Parts: sequence; structure tokens; C-alpha cells
Amino acid sequence: MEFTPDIGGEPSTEILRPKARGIRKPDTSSDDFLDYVDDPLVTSTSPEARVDALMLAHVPPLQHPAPVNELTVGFGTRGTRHPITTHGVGAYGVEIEAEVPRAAHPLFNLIINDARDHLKIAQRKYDVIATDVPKVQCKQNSSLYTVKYFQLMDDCLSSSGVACAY
Amino acid sequence: MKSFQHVFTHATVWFMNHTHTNFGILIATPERLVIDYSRLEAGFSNNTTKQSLAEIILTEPMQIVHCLHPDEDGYRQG
Repeated sequence: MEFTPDIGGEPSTEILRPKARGIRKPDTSSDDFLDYVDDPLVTSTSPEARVDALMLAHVPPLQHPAPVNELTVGFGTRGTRHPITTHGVGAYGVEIEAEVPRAAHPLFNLIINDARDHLKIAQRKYDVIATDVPKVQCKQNSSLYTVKYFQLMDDCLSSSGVACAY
Repeated sequence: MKSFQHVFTHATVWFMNHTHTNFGILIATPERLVIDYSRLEAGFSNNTTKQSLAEIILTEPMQIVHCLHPDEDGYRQG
């Protein structure tokens, strides 16, 4: 597989990394499904998960006076992608797992890359960047909760930009 | 949380407490947060956004304001 540097334009990048192991299981106590990646539970179809997703989709852009674009880091775990597009922004997502684009919303500009790489070399500044990735306990995700990562986010924000993490 | 605040001086914590959920979000703004209520009203005036928010029983802009806790100073006090 060839590595192509992402310059923040059209989705074009694939990178080599071990595939995450994802499993969807039915919740025995409800009609919901539970999604596990590399063992930890990362999301579900439960009402609680829906609240989390919509909070991340709506609260950050509403703190910006007039967002033109928004980047969501992590694309495969929650239902944030369609709600974000209701704000009329240019919606971008950066996702490390190449299988995820199959679920992409048509209004979403999806970039397959490591978020840290994208933030480091993207030529676009974002009005809102929301990091919506599985919790810190998940394999390799601790790198998206560090000072270094948040500095990359800051460097990629417009002068009026809003950052968000959970 | 400390890492986020180390980079973003004006960071606040938001938690949706009107329904059952299990986590909050951190939001950073370029300057100290000032809630622009008219901006929230403009968001709710968009029907598709309004319908999406109604799915989690957020039907009034003031409910968004109630999700803020604590503010920048409270966050810093940890």
C-alpha cells in the first residue's frame, strides 16, 4: 500500500497500520448494539451514546460566531456526521481506519489519515475542530489526549476557531 | 483535562445533565467564553438543526447554556 501525504485536500491518503479489531454485539438487556474496538466498548446505539454524539455535533459550532468549516477527528464511532452538516458548514472528517468511508455521509469530506499527520500538514484552517475518538483507554488513543496533540489542533484552528474534545 | 487546558487557556467543561449520559466535553474558545444567546437562537432557527437537537430533548437555546459547568475559572481550580 502506498503512502501519500495528506495536504488537506481531497480524500486521498492511506497509511499502513495494523487493523483495529472491531466487534458489534447485541446488548442482552435492550434492543441496542454495543461496538467494541480492540476490546474496549467504544460506542453503542443506546440513547446515552446518541446524546454524546449530538452534544459533540452541535455544542461546539454554536460557540463560534459564524463557522465556515469543521473538522471531526474520528469518524467511525458516533453519529455525529449527519448532525454536523445541519449547521451549513463545510464538514470534514479525518479517520485512520480505511474501512470507515463506506459509512460516510455524502455531505462529508472524508480524509483517511492519522489525525496527527493531517493536523500537522493540512493547509486548511478550521473554524471548529472536534475530537470524537474512543476513550483514552483504547489502544493508541492516548496519543490523541496529549499536550502535543492539542497543540497540533491549536495550530490548525482559524483565529476565531473553537476546539473540542471529550 | 489538564493537557487540554495547558494548551487552550480559555477552556470550559460542558455536561448534558438533563438526561442520562456519562461524559462531558471540553470546549476552548480564542478568548474567554461569552455566551452569545442570539447565536444559539440562530442555531435553533435552522429546522434541521432544531430537529436533531430535539432528538435528545433539547428544544430551547437556554438548555444549551445549562450544559456549561464549570466555566473557565472552575475548570482551572479542578
